Amino acid sequence: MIGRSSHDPERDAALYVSGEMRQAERGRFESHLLGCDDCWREVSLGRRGRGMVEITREIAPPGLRDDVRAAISVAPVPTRVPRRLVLVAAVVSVLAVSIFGAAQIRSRQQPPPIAAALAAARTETLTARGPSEQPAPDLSSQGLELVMGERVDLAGLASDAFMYRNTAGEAVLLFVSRTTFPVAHDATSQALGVNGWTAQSDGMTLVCGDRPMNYLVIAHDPSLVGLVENGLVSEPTPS
Amino acid sequence: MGAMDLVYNIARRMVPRLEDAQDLVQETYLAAFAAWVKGRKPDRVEPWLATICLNLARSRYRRESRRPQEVSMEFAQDVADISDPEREALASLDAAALRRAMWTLGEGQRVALALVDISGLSTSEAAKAMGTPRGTVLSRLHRGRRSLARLLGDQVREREA
Repeated sequence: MIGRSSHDPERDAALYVSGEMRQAERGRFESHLLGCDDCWREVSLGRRGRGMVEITREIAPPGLRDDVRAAISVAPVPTRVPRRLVLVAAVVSVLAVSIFGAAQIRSRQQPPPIAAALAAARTETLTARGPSEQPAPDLSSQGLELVMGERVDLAGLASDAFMYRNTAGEAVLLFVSRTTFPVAHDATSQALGVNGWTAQSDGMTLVCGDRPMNYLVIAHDPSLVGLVENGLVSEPTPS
Repeated sequence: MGAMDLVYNIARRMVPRLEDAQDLVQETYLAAFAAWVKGRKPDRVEPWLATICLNLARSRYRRESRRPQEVSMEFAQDVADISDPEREALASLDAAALRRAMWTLGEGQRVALALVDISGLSTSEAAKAMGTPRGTVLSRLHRGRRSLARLLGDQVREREA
């Protein structure tokens, strides 16, 4: 049946219910269904069963994601990896995000610390190396609530990372480091008298500056990035 | 469905204990990490992770775990009062009870359902991950669906009797 030599209700029902019949084949099968009790029954059962299976779908526990990240971050790196630790760290960071299905990040075009920061922003996850060294800037005046603050390793670049959310729940990440952040691919210079740059990557906006401290802000929504910058300007310079 | 959820759902249907499933997810990612660093770059991450997860489960857990205990059909008692047949019965089924019911299926059927109906892989991708011909996957898929559907039908009839 349906382009095959034999009538096979099970196979046809499996293909049909799985949505794997081509349009023409599906049309022929649907016509056939009207006159074939066997196929009708199998399709009915298949649909009902698929509906039951879909109910059982689960979401991975939030803690599991962190556990896996932690395990990967301390996993021994195979010997074929480049020896320089900075590169190793970059590979780990980029890989961890890639495997987590963080879409097709084009991070390889970015300097490793930027790629790692982008990855953290995309996944809204920080792999902590400890508590942040500096206090989190208070951005409540900008309508941003601090969600977490951690010490992180951006592919060899030590940084504090602070995640904020606005009232709509949208996240923005602020990285603060004693080290200057590398310039992102295709970045343009800031026009506000600050030695920094702005860039777009993977649908996210990045802004980097060095006053009042070395910072890098990343968010999907450019206005959130602006809010953080405004908040930093009004914040007292950390000692 | 994200890759982590995909692996978790497969793991949950490969090993009965929640803790073992979480360990399996972690081992899957560590194995993927090692392979990735060595230069393995799959076209699609999801089927690749599914394959790693299945292989690990088979090699490590099958020996250790006893065969999953048969789950009684008592999950039918979890069904709320049903006045209208199929749709309401389906909506009223408890997901946890259905998960237990999936353990009444053979491993092949359970894995096929997990890969295709839960994780969204194509039957070709599932066949590759399972190391079986596509026709076998189609057969297992349909028979697994049908077994669960008949369970539901039995419940409905019992309720209506």
